[in-house]
Amino acid sequence: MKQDRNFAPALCAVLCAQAIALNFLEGLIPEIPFLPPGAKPGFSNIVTMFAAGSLGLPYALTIAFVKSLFTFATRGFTAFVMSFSGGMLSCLAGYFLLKYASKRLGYTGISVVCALCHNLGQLIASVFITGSGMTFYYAPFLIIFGVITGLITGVIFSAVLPALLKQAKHFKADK
Amino acid sequence: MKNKIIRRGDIILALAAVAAALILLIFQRTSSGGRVAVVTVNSEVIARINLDELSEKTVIKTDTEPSAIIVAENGEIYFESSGCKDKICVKTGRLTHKGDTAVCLPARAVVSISGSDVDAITY
Repeated sequence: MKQDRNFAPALCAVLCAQAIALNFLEGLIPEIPFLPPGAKPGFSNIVTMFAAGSLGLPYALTIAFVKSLFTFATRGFTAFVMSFSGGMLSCLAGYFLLKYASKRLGYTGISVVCALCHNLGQLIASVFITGSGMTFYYAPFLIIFGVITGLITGVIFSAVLPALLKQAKHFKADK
Repeated sequence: MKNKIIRRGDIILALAAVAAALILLIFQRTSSGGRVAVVTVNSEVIARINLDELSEKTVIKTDTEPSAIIVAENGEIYFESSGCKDKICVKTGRLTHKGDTAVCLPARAVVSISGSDVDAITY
């Protein structure tokens, strides 16, 4: 059987668009009081996690990078650095956990770790931007918020997984 | 990609993370000594303000681009305004407790309150 070489790049492009769309949509949600300012649910993590599991690490990292380019275009350089560092770390975590920790963790747990890694990546980036370790004072709030958003996106991920798999099927040449 | 939605490990992991966060938070809140606001801009500590002994309004304007204006008064400190886009620092609001932190990344400014004993060397 002939393997369609265009399958992965084509699916990756569509997933990029979906990640950007989710990123844009969550930007429309108004700030919720009592939460850390600037905190976002991170719905596009659903897409990068799917890519990490189905297409592999390079494609997942590509999606995270394209997403941060979108952030650069709409919110500037600082936002790009934050999105990039968080996205990369979160992708790596998602990929390795889906590969090696599936026996111990479900999608929800993996999503929580991804969210926490996203926040950790951003904290590390903020240390470099400000040159001050003081930003780590934010850590407790980011951990609690990361766990909550990770749980939510994990459940959504499990719910939309059949749809994502069905979508991926459309890109295969031989059914 | 076959996996379970949720496993016992997930719950343990989430609870452990929240517990770690709470322990960190308690450590921050209960650090000894008075409340000292540390203002860091471009990796340099430009001001240390003892909020417990603050008598007059202190205004700090960062010389970064965009610039941020930080105000300390009545035992609290906050970003009054900033030239950045998202204004996350201003939205963070007034800092009063130890461990409270406000950050303006575009202005590379960090304001956080720590216990004075941590910075005993500088006093």
